Amino acid sequence: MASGTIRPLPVWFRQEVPDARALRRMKELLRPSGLHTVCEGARCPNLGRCWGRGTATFMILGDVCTRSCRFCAVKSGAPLAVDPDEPRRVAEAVQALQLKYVVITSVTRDDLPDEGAGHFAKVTRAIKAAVPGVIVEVLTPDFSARVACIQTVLEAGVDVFGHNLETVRRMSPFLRSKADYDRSLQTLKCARAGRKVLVKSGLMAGLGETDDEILEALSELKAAGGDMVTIGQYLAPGVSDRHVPVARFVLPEMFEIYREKALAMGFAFAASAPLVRSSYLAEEGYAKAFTQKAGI
Amino acid sequence: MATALKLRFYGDPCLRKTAAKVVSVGPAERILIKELIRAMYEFEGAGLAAPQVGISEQIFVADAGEGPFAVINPEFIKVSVDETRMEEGCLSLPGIRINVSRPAVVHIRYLDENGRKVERELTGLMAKIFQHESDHLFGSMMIDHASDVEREKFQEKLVRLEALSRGGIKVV
Repeated sequence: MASGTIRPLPVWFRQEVPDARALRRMKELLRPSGLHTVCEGARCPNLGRCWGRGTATFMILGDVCTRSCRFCAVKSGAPLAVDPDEPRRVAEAVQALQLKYVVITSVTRDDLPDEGAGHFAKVTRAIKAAVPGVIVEVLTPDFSARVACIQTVLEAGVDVFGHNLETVRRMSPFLRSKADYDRSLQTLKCARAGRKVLVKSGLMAGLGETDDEILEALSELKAAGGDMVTIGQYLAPGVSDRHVPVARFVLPEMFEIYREKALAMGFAFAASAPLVRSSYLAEEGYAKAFTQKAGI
Repeated sequence: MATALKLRFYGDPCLRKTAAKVVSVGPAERILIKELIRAMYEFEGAGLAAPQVGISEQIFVADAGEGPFAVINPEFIKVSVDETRMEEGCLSLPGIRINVSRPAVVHIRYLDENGRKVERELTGLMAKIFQHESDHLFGSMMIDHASDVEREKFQEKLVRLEALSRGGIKVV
């Protein structure tokens, strides 16, 4: 793809203009508290819609990542010092937004001794203490698949443990140069190990993989103990940086086939469509997966 | 006498690791810092991070035009939303210049060569150098900010550097 050329998005990406008032309300709440959202950091196309509905996915541990994956808009480099007051501020924002379902994600923090696990646990506990009955979903880095780190997060009482596989095995070394496909599967296996928590993962399509490779990745996710999966279309964050261009726009019909196959594999919940992202319809996904696993 | 330190180039895995925090600052660290400063001037750089000479520790030295200084265990407390762009170079990427956008003002904290805590607000060239060198301590390099055009322009140089690094040939 020639540099500087921006391919127009396929027609199925057209979105409604978001509600300006709702966006402003969200900004007013987040700005003074200095909280980051992955919605902004990763330039999610669903920002308008989710913020319009009053939901947001918080990004803790700063907005600079110690990895440099080629599909991610988040800044990479020297990370920000951990803010010990962040758990309290996130809990307050959850209260102010009257959220019943919260998704917390973060940048990767290879620089911290516990890779951020302790901070995830603190944020989870703060939210649960502030809002009785709230459901907390975390979308974490791989924690280098360290059992102690993963346990720290689980012991805080998260309801959904998510870690994204992101792409297929063949493309991982190039796209996630500081991560590892098998290590990510191991992180999920670790979270699964005989626990009640729901395990979730996400994939992107359109990075250069084949449909068979997506299905293979889904199968490996299921074998690792995944309960829920999300699949969405990769959209390049920008043309003038480390990011890779979009290799293909997968047809909505194909996303639907991924979904059917995922459900046939036994996933309790599978969201698959061009605009699906990890935390899109997270609440509905939880409800579905929870009731299915509980045999209700 | 020339420095005994040898530069590592793009492609060397030690430039992609997160360096270990320095536990205590003592004579050994001060000797290393002296040597890093010597090497920095010899290699004619504005900054030099320990990982660039194969030492995976959170130390870098720099000279923004006001004399050499050392930074240990840098932390970014706050960075400005406003960014400025500057063409940067790197000793580990010889012959390559990349336009990099970085926060214009940074509020940082670190230990000096005597182990004393320093907290400062940096702007201008100092802020740039500090961020560039800190990135090295977290496995990040300026090439990560390169546009498609820049990457294409320096493609051959990058491939050669990677081959050099893989071959284990150390060029001072």
